[in-house]
Amino acid sequence: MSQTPSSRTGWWGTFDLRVGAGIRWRIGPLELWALAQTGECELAYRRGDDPLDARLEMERVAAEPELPEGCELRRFAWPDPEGEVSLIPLTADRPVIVRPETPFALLGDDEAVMYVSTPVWVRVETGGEGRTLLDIPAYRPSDTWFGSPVGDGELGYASRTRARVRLDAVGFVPARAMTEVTIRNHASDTFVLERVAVPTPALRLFADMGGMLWTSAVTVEREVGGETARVRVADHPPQHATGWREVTPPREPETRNVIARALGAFLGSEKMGGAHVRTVG
Amino acid sequence: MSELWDSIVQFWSEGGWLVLVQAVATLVVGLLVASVLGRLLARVIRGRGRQQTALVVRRLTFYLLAVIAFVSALTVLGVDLTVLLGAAGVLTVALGFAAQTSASNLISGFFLMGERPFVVGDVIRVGETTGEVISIDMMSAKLRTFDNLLVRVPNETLLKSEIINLTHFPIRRVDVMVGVAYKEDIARVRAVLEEEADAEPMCLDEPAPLFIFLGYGDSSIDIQFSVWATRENFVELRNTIKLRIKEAFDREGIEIPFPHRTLYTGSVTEPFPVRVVDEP
Repeated sequence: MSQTPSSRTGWWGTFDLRVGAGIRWRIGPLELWALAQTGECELAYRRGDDPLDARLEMERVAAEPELPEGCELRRFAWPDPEGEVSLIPLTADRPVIVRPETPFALLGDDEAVMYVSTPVWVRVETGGEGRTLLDIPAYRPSDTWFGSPVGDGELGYASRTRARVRLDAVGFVPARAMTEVTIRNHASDTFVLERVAVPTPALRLFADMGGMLWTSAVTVEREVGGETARVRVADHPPQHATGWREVTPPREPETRNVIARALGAFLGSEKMGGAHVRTVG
Repeated sequence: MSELWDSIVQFWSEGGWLVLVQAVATLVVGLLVASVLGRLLARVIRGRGRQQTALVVRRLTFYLLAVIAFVSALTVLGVDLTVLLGAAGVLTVALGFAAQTSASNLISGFFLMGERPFVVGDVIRVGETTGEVISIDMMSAKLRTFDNLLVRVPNETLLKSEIINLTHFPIRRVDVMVGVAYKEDIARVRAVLEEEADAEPMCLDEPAPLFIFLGYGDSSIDIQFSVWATRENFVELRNTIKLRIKEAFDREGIEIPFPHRTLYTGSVTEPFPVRVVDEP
C-alpha cells in the first residue's frame, strides 16, 4: 500500500516498490532514493548542510534516474518484483548533547523546563519481513565527548540547535524530534546548567495530530545534598503533543544500566562533573 | 653387559616390576591431574576476561604439578632424592647463571601482568617499533606492525622501557601544524580553521578544538590547530582535517608560504637589481 507523506500523517510508512520503478524522498536535509531493478534494489542518499531544513517531498521516479553527485549507494538483492519498502523514524543511536543558549542558573528548590530538538534517524526496511536495509541520520551531527577525556565519559552527538525554555523558539521540522526536559533542583544551592545529555536511545518516538515527532518526556531531579540526581523517562510525550500516538519504541531497552550511564553524564556543570546518580524504576 | 642383564632379571623376579608399574601410574595420574587442574584454573581466570593470564597460569600449574608427580614417581621407585637434590643444587646454580635473561623475562612478565600497561589489541610504541599487541606470553610480547611484520619484544625490555599505549584512552588529539604568510589576518585564519573543524563530523565538539599561536617563524607565522577524535577515527581524521584545511585555505586565499629568504644589501633597503632573461 503506497502512502504520500504529508505534514499531517508524517513521512514514514510502507511504500510499494515494483521492479522497474523508484521512489525519491526529501526528509529535511536528507534526500533518499529507493530504486528497484530486476533482482536488486539500490538505495542512494545524500545530505544537505542545513539541520533545520524543513522540506518534505516524495515522488515516484524511474528505476535508473540520474543521481546527483555525492550520493552514497547501497545495493541489495531484491527477489520480489512486487516488493515494498518501509521508512521508520528512530531516535539517535547515541546521547545528544544540547547546550542552552547561555548557561543558566537554577536556584535552590527551583525548576526549569527546556525544549530540545534532536535529529531523527531514518531506517529503511523491506516491507514484508521487516529486515533493515539502511539506518542513517537525516542529518549527521558532529561527534562529541561528554565527560573526562581519560575514559569516564561517553561518546555522543553535539546538537546544532540550542535548548530553549520556549517551545515556539525551537520550531518543528520533519527530520527532528522534540524532547521536553524538566530539570528540578531540590538542593539548596544554585546549580549552573551548561549542557544537557539527552538519553535519546532510551526514548520512545511519538507523533502528534500534526505529524510532528516528539520523544518521551524526561525529568531530571537534582537531589538534596546536590551530589546525586535521578532521571525519569515517561512513557508518553508532554502535554503539548495533542492527539499523540506511538511511532517507534526506544532503540535500547529502558534498563537501569542504560539510564545510569546517561545520568552519570546527563547534566554538565562545574558542580556536577563527577556526580553519582541513581535511577528511579 | 651380562651383569646388567643379571640385575634386570633379578629386579624383575623379585617383584620390581610392581614398583615400576606403581611409579609409572603415579607419574601418569600426576600428569593428568596437572593437566586438568591447569585447564580448570585457566577457565576460571578466562571467565574474568584475562586471556593471557589464563594461559600463563595454566602452563605454570601444569609444570609445577608435573615436577611434583615426577618426584613422587622417583620416590616410589626408591630413588634417594638427597643425591638428586645435591645434583639439582649444583645444576640450579649453573642454570641460574646461564638463564639469567630468561628468568628476568619471566619475572618481568609477572610484573607486566599485574601492572597491565597494555592488553591484547592495544596499539603500543616501544622504542622505534609501533604495532598492535597480538599476544602477551611468559617471556615476551608479540607485536604486529602496520606493515605486517611480527616483532617479538622480551618482557624485560618492556618493563625497562617507556611504553606508549596509543589506544588506552577513548579519545585522542590530532595536532595540525600549519604556517601562514605574515600578511594574513590571524583572526580570519582562526575562524576558517574552526569552521572546518565544526563542519567535520568526526571532529569532536568537545573537547573543543585548540588554536595555539606557536610563534613568528623564519618564513611564516606558525600555528598549531588541534582537534579531538575517537581513537577509532584518529587515523582517518588525521588525513581528512588536513585536506579540509588545505582546501579551505585555497578557497579563502590564505597563503601557506614556502620557506624563503629576503636579501638586503645592507642597512639601506635597496634591493639587488634583478633582470629576467628569457630562455633561448
